[in-house]
Amino acid sequence: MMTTAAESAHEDGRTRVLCLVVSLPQRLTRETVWSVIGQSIPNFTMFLTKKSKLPSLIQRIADAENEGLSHVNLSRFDYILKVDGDTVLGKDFVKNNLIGDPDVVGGGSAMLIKVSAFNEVMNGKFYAECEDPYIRLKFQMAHKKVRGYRDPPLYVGNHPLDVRYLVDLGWLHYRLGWTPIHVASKMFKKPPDSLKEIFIVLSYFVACLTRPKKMDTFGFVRTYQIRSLARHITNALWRV
Amino acid sequence: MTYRILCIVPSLPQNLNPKTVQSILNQTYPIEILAILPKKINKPTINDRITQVLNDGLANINLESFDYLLRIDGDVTIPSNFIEENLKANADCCGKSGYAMLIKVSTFLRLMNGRFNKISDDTYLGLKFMKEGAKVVDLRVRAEHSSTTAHPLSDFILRGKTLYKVGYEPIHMIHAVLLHVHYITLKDCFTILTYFGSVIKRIPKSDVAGYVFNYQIKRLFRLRKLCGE
Repeated sequence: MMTTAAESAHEDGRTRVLCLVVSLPQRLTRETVWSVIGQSIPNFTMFLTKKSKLPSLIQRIADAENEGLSHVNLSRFDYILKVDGDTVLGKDFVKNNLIGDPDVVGGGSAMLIKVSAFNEVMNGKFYAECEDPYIRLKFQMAHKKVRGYRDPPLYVGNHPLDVRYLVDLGWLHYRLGWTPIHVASKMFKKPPDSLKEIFIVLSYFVACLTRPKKMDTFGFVRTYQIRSLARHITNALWRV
Repeated sequence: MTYRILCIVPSLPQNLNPKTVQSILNQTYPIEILAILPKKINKPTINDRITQVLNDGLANINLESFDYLLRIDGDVTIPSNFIEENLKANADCCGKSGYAMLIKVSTFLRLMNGRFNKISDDTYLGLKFMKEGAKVVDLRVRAEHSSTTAHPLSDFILRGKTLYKVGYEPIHMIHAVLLHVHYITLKDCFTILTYFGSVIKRIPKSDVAGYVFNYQIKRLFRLRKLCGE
């Protein structure tokens, strides 16, 4: 099998990875620390644990990450690894997920982002009002290689959901451009972890009525989801 | 005034004490960023390795955006009021040995150009600061060193050379070797032997050597006077 120059750099450990772990001190687990600093591709790990006064969790995370990036010479790195404070990664998480030289891998609890693409698409900053989903969508819009995990995290923390966070999430789904059917189907695809998740749907519909400012991904997401719906319906009809 | 504190821990994953990270994060005076530097360097001496890891790490960071730099070894735990209490000293450098040092960034940038010296990342820094008239004080709150791994002989030999290079005179050197350890081992003799070997070989000294030698001689004279009185 042919390997590209970038892939051989990953294998030789020449790829420079900046690891950002955003967490409150009490949420950061010992296993996370070890799994991050013990990666087979060595990285420069920064733990960002300072409390922020911003109202929403999504904003606080983005703010902490941008604050962290403001202290770093980003040009010295090839990839950013963004990890939650309660997520445990396998030893070869970075190495395995960099196969194929992607621009973005994963999302949520652990995400790998190529710095050159990040600078190009996001101007080297995380979007203050939305985090992972926005990054993935922006990269998709820019026709970058967005991929799921080849080697998923070993453990993802499961902390109780905050109602405020869920309300923000519903609001965000509207602003990103999700269709009502996709929001509802996301909730009912798998049994909801808690009844609280209904707040996502409720706040989404409140947002539909109050019409907050849409994000630049709105048109792209809407078109993509409507097309996918149409495809599903056509396939279903075809089967009938 | 709120100080922005950057904490750096040069340590390989296998040498990092679980309590170290926790003790840093549990500080009553919160740090801005904790950076762990798990880089493996192939260099012959421990000083070279640590200095390069620290300097490589610092090269990634915009140091100017911080007020203090907390440099801690991976096998050291600090009490929760460590930063808060040591900040009260308002010193340019708190702590004279490398396992835990709180360094004022502005002074570090001015005197060391934001880089650790390869002769010794800790001893040299304190002496350089003193030479240039910066305020260097002992830690007001002590850190706990919990290393279980024995240092190799090469570290002891290197220490003898380092003490010579930074200008230690023999009595202070023996004091540093014998009185700053919990128990004396045979390996400590190698530090003393290497020191005298360096005296005979006359290896090049660092820029702080003259200052340190004079300072220590003056201290000895002061001590003699005190004894005479």
